[in-house]
Amino acid sequence: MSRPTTVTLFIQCLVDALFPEVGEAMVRIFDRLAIPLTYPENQTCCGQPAYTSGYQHEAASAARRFIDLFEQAEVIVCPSGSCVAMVRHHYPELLKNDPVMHQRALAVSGKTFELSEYLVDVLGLTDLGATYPGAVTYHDSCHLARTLGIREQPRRLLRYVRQLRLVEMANSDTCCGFGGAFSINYPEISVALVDDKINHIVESGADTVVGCDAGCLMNIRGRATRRGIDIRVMHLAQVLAGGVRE
Amino acid sequence: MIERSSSYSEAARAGMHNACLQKSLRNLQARYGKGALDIWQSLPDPSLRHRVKARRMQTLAHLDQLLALLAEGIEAQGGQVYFAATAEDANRYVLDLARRNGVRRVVKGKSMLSAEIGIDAVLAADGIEVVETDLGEFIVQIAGSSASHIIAPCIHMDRQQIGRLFADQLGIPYNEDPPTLTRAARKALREKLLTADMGLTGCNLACVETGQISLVSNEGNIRMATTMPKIHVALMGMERIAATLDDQRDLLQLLTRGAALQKLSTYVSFLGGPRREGDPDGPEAFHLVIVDNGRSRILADPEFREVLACIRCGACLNICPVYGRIGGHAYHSPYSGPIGAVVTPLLQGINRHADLCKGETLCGACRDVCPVDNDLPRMLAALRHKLAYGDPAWQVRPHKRLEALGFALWQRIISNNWIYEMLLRVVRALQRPFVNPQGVLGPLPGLKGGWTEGRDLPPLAAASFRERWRTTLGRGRAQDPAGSHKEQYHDA
Amino acid sequence: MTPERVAFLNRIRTAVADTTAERLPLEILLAPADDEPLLAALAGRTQNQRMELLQQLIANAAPLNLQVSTCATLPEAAGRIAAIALASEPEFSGQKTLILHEHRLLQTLALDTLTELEDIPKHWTSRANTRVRAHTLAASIGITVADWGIAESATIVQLTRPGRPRSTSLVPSVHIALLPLSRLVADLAEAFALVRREPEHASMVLISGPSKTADIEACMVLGAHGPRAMHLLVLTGAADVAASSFLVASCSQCC
Repeated sequence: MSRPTTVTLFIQCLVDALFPEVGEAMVRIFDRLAIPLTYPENQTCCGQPAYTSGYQHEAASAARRFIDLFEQAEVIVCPSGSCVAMVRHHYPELLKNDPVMHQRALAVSGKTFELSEYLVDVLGLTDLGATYPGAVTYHDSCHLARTLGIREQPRRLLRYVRQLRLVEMANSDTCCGFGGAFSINYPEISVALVDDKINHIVESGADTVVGCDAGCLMNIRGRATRRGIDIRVMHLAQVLAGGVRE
Repeated sequence: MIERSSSYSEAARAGMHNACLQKSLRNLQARYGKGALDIWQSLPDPSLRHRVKARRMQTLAHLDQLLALLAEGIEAQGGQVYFAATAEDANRYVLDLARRNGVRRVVKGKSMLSAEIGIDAVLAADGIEVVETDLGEFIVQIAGSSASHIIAPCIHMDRQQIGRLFADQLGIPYNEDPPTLTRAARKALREKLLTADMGLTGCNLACVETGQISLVSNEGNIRMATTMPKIHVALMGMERIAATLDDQRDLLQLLTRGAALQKLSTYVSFLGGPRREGDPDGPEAFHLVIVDNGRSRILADPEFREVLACIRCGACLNICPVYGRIGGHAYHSPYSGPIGAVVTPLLQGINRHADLCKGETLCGACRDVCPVDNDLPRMLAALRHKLAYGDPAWQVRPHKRLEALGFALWQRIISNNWIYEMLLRVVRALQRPFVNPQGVLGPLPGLKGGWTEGRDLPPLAAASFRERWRTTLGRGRAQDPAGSHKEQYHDA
Repeated sequence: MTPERVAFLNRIRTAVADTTAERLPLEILLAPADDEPLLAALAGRTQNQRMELLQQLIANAAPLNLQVSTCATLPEAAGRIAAIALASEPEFSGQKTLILHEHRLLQTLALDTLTELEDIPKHWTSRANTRVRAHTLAASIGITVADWGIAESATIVQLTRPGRPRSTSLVPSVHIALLPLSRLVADLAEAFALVRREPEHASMVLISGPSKTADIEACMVLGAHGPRAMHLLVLTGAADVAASSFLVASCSQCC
């Protein structure tokens, strides 16, 4: 049996600073699968906030740093769809004027995966032995679903979680209104969108909403607690790691 | 263009508080946005949109030649063609034409280009009566308002408002029954359509092969306006052209499906000149006014050229979650929704419309639903790029110095792991007094106020992931091939 | 070419200068798609297949409020027209009148001989009639013959010809169109292939039902500015054969 590929962890800045339990859950998942892990401790941010606000020089700087730190990895796995979309779709474009960096960006792009994508499409797994008693609805975050085309993989994994009842909400792939800086610059519009999302979650009958992007989850949870709405907001990794109760 | 009396956010707020608008947009989007996506997904030829886009781009690459040929074709049928470089040129031409022919009354088919160039005000200032004949446009005209959707102009008004409006303006007894109101408008507008001196329309798609323009409608007002008055003037954005009848057919079918899920609109008119010998109706004179008004500048920029492939179907409006909440008036432009957010800054000024460039989430739904495969999110990101640093080619000044400073600072922070971790520790210490009993940050002033006015903010975790890795999670593992490199990175 | 036209086109030429290398010769760019296979399929269509298309047309017409009926003989068609005329009320004037296109098929119906219609004035849009506009404005029903019908979208194609003006199918509040079954095609591609081969016409309109609008609170209302009701009489059997004898394959002008 060949040695399993070492997974290099790309931990989104939001997860690092605000939701480290999501990163921990990822580690638990890979440890349970006996997959060796590494974590470049100097990683900070993939540059997406700068890119979506138009600051492409700063974003390119972050990209170059990321490539330096990660390009020796065999495979890079990240619990955030928007960060993976940044690396796969925007890094090569940002660095297109530097042929050498462009090639290096392409190489890194080719081995960067989102968590559910890596588990299902690359490792061929669907049942991780997890348990989560509850009615769960899944939120399709925009970059994951539209840019990366990943919609089925998280659902497949959720269906194999014991005692978990998966219910679809209306408009599961309608934007939750986060949009990075948009949520701060246009807060009223942002809140109107997340209110729609929360209403759909509640109408679905689920007690838990699961997603693959900490930005969306932070947005949904932040509004839900302010509105006094009792729904659990969890990252897919947490459910798959055994369902750590908040 | 529409005068700005409120900002994007203010107008958005007004839209969000308009209960009638909210209900109408919800219904519209539930049916039409998703409906269009379903249609594209069940096309017999899945590559249709892609092929059509390629053909549009090819058409644009030959635009000068095709426009010259179109003009020849129209002139050969007895029509006249005027090439208007600017809005002023177009307005002057039409006004001169109206004056020369003693035009007192003009009936209009729905045309966003006519709103873009502001021709109504020019004609009205000369004492010419201008009557919108599309029911929705007629309603917003007599209400002194403006259209809030490309296909459904008065979606922001309810039947009670329209009932009161008709009672005031048409002198009928108050009634809020849509069929009764529609019949009242039918009667009032019929008289205008049959006595007008000039019909003024837009142009959905011109065809070089046939020398005819096509016009779509469901109401029949465009057919009336192009058949009964003595003069017909069609305003055409210079990019609205197809080379062959096959191209025109493909585009028409995408247009009617994208707009209202129809295989074809009730009426599609094709015309290219005045009436012929033996025709008892049809205009005696046909004028096609081809308008640039900033389009050639867009055409010249490969980054934005593809936005000229747009066929103005409105599908992007029907799927955009932001438009679906704020409505069309927030865009302060005849072009609202995602297409408006790109085209309005390019035509009218990027700084002037900075909110349109930045005021959406880049969710990508518009890209999914566009019948001609336009990548609007990419172009919005490109507009934001110009606002970030300025751009002399497009006369853009940097939009927010403070924000630019913020990101320059951000780059320093994330380029240096030590600074990043130190900052986390400092914020962690400072945040303690703000964390409420629920364990989150409640309303805060300043920058974070944008978020916390409506939402709670999680505090920084007691130990970040990297700290946990260092202390426990990462212990006892094999050496990292990706490198625990020494901090070797420096700012570029 | 006027100076402003030259300047306008030059500005565009400069704008797309980066694509000069990819420019095609115009005759290639403007080359129409090969629609011979379409026309061959159309020509080889059997009567059974045309009846299937008719079923499609009827199914597609229903949600558009386009009222379709079939008439196997010309007298049946005439009777149908009479029935519609009797059942519909004039909208804009006190009196029911008909206005008809100058078309041999319509003349052969001999509507003048129907007693049900004897009190209803009938006018023709013939070239000799100097009061066509007045007659059209006063008419409650306009009657035309479609050049083609399209099953997929329940559409008729109406070309403008001398003696066959646009207003007949537009201004009166009811429109009746006759369509020989042999002129029913499957989709827009087939219809355009035929249109492409027609001699030049001043204008053309595709009509897919009565006029409608949903601008007020998304409530659908029939009869915005065009006809509020539309009837399509499909001529089958002997009526189709008779109609075809009036319509030479590629020239609807001579009739």
